[in-house]
Amino acid sequence: MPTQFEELQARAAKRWDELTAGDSAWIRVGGGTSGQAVGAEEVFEALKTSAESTGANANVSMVSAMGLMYLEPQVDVLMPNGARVFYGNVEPEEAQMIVEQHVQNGEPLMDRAFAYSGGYGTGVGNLPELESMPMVALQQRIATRNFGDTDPHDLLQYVANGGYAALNRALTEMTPAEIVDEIKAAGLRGRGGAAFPAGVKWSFLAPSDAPVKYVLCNCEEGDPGAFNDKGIIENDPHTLVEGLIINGYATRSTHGYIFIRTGHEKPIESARKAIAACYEAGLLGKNILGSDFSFEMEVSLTGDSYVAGEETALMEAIEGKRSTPRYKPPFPAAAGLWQKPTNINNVKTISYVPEIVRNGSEWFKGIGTETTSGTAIVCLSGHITYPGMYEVPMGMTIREVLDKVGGGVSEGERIKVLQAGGPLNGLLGEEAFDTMIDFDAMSAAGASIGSGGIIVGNETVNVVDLLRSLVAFNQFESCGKCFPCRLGNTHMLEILDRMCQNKAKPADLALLERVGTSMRAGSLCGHGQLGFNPIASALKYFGDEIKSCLGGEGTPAGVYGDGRMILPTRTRP
Amino acid sequence: MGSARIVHRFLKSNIPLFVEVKLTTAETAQSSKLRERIRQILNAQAQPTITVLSSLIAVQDSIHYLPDEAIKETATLCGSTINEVWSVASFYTNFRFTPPGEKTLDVCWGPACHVVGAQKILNSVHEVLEIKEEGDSPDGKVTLKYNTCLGACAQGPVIAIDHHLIGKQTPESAAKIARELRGHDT
Repeated sequence: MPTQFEELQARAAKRWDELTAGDSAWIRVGGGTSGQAVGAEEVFEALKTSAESTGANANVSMVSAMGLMYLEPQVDVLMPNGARVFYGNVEPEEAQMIVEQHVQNGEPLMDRAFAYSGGYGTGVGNLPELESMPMVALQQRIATRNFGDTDPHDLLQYVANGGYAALNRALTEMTPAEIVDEIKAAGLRGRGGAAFPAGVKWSFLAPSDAPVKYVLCNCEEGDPGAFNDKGIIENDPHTLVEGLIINGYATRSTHGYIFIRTGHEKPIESARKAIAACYEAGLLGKNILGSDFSFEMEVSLTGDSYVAGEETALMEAIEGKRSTPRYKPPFPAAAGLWQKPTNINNVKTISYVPEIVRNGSEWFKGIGTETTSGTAIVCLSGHITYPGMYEVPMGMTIREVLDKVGGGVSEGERIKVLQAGGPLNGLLGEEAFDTMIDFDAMSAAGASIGSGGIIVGNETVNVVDLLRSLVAFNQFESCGKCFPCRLGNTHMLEILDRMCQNKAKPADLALLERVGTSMRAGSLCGHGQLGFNPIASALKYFGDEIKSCLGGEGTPAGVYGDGRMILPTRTRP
Repeated sequence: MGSARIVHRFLKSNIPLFVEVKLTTAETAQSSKLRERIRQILNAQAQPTITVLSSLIAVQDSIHYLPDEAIKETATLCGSTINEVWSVASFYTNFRFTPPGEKTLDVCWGPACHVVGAQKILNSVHEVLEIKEEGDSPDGKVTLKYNTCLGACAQGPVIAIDHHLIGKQTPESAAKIARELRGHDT
């Protein structure tokens, strides 16, 4: 008799066959928040309408975004027994043409396509193969392996591509302790920024025999420039849900929460649908897949508050309070959410777990560098030719990522400054571009992989103006609990504002440093402790530019010519 | 004794500075209707964990602001005090306490959009909406919010109309959108 999981797999295989090996064409439109921002939904509707009105034999699906965001809205067509052909920057008006020429007449629009994939090795005209394009070839996709291929809202498509096999393996072949050991051996380090070994963190929670224990997954991700956590949830939520169930099994927990900021509708909808589908398929709830293990999961929403991403503040928010950090100890593993033993991980960390359990720790350890195994999911934005989300092996240099994956900057321009790892991490100048992407190498350079966001600035970017916008963000988002952070950020913002308006004095630099030092010493969480980081790193790489703003003789910064910047008026009471 | 009615004083920043408590003899019909609607919203929360924060988010998602009734009903539902509920409501910057304009326009001013020109977008939207900071346009049609990150940095500068994102903005395109929202000819 087939097991519950084998039955699910059989249903999934049938579904995938219908889509990919039947006699209908499959038109896929890359969705997600980023796609929405450039009109992917309109393109999807137009394709559906065209397919219906022409009576074309085609399935039209909104699938996950591939991460090549400069090509969005992105559409691809898989013909029966044919290759998959990709179109970029598609307009709704082009839908009719794609359906008529490509789907009905079997003739791809060669001047509009940018790549092909699969087929019989004969190629499609002179299109490059998708897998040979540098921004795809240089990636090693683990957490983002299904991006561009599957419908995030269809559990069966995820299962058909190897999904939940890791959970099934964990429940049938492995004890919780063996999984914790496997994660430890894989060298998986937390991707939320602190880079703490995930297996070790799990082992703090596992031994407790408390009747209720929680595993929390942090997708607060308020970092400007980072969209990979939300990207994973909206594009492949089941990777995360499967990882979190395994996390729950390994730590012998009873409840899981996925924590997302309100207003980010696509990730929220995606996570909720994935959880509902899992309950229906017996992957969540009592006796998962017929085993002894029972586990509940839900989505918890927070209001707008950046500090809610700090682990103890996150627990306060789930409890429905103001998201301000708690004193430690007690640590979450002893007394966390509702004072119960708790384990907290970032979305990316958890999303690696299914593939580690499926392929073994040796495989994962073999990717990346000695000290940081696995991949980095990098979000490129700002002045870069190919903005997008790319999963590259750890150990690649920043320059390789910028030039080869991101396509560098336009001819005649130069990348001047990078803001890496979110507003509490540093700025990097050109001499740091040969740094390896690796937790230790990046932090030695004065920045951090942190959230994975890299904002690229060309020579038009004024470093002091950029610093002001970072500190303005930190000031706006300080929760206000510790006064060195609350007042320190305000004070630093005032000084930077003076510098931008050419009203600063040389003594202001020492004042900045003094405020920064107090914040580091006197704040409870990273928001205050790390608040001086952007300025400290900027002094290292752009010291001259910063000092030139102190004599009252430079050109005012900002876009208005007088050094002003429009800032939010609201602060927390 | 009538029921306690709470009048909140607002600064231009929408944050209550202090709270006066007045006693009135009867609840108006409008208020009791609103109260009933809020009870329905609070009881319709689908997720298993109901908290003060989840309740406030549910109300704001449905009626787009938190009236006094929402604070009181949330306190009753969650067994907390009006003070405790206010401490949460005033902390998270997405909550507002007066009805917003017909449409909400979010403009990202975070560092990722900043480097590609968010400040100029803010400036041009201010001009069209005839305001100088976050808030409602004089005709009440549009509420402008500064957003720290809308999550589509690769398509920056980004704005959003009622959470629907629109990327790759220029000062001109954003002004056009703002004019359309106000119902002005473009």
